[in-house]
Amino acid sequence: MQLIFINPEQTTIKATLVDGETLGNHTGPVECFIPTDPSNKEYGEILEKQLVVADYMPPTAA
Amino acid sequence: MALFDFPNSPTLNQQVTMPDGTVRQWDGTKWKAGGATATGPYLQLSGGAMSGAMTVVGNAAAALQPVPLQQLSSTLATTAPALNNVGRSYIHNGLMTIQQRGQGPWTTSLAYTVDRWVLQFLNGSMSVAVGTLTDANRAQIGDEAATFYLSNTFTGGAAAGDYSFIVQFIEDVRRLAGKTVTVSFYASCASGTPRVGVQIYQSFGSGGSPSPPVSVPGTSVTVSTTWQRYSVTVAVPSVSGKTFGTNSGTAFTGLRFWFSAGSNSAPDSGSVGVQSGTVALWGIQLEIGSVATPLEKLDPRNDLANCQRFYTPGAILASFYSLAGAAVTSFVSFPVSMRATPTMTQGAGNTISNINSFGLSASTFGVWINGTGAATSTVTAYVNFIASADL
Repeated sequence: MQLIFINPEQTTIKATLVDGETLGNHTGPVECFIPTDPSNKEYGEILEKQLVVADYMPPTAA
Repeated sequence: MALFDFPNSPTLNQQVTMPDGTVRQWDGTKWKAGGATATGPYLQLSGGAMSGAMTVVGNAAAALQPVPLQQLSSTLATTAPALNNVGRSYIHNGLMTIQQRGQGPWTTSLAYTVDRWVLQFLNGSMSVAVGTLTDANRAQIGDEAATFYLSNTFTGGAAAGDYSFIVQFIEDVRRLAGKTVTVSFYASCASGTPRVGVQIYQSFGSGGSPSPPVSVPGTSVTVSTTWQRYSVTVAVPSVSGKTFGTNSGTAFTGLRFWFSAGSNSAPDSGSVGVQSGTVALWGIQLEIGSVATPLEKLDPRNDLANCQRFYTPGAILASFYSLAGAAVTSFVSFPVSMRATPTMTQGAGNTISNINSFGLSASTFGVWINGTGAATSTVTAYVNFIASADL
């Protein structure tokens, strides 16, 4: 499972789940965009399991 | 106050004036009152009959109409069916008509099936799917509104810890706490006489150190190949003194329908035991009170909106000219505000071109694209999305 913030404000996490991986109500293979809202089941699980989320990577300048 | 003594041996229609100035008149057997002259009508405390309007002194302009119980019952019977079809049940999609994820079959534990219903099992198997009711089914149910059912073909695992059930998470555990509730549902099976267990449990949410879940012992019923309605009444425990999780909105009441259970889950499942078979459910209702009232049927618009609060598909269509490196965004509102900020996933058939670092961000009321222009050119995003704020 890969977790990375998609914006510098760190309000949304992109989660990439491979086949059979689960996060909240989602089972891989799937790519999810998860809000940093503790009421959200997937984010609640990230907090509960203390999963590491990579920092935002700004796009390369064109 | 001076004592008053009625005359001995009164004559017919003899009148006396009471100390308070009112008049009583002897009718041959008793002294009767009837206004200042004792000649007006009066109603006996027992027996007698009153006709016409009754005027309440102090508001003489408004007449209070006495209504016989029989007339009241008749009026309620006429008007109640239209009024009682909504608002009593705490279950969403009890008619199984909202199918935003399709009609299955769903075979993976923790998968959502028709809206708001989740299947869960450990070992064995479950295959949950939507079926279409026939006229013969509707005749057994006694309701021509019945259209779809949710069926479960299952093989129960034999180990003590194995289980098989479907569940709906009812938002906010406090709504049913400390109340007597009645769960009613229609069920049938493909063969045999399997048992179906009905159970309620309480979860106090996530985050921090919430109290552990509370399970109410389940009750089971035996179903047959004929559609019938069953009901189970449950005393839901109080949550007073419980510690709730720090993540707001994550506490819930769970309603489970057990199909198979190893010995560890015997109390929760109503001792359904280890079973295999096919059971179908329709018309699930959970209401406060100790009796099952007629099955309510929401207007389809409201039924859908209740489910969209937890799960909704949609689309963003955007195409415009952008500078390289410029922020690219487009926003779409959800049809209803969602329970929590949803997790977004992409549906099939999307087109995303000339956008770097594409992503979807959301609030409870809408979703927008994140990204930057990959070049100074037209950017395009045709994105089917799914927003999930399920519990």
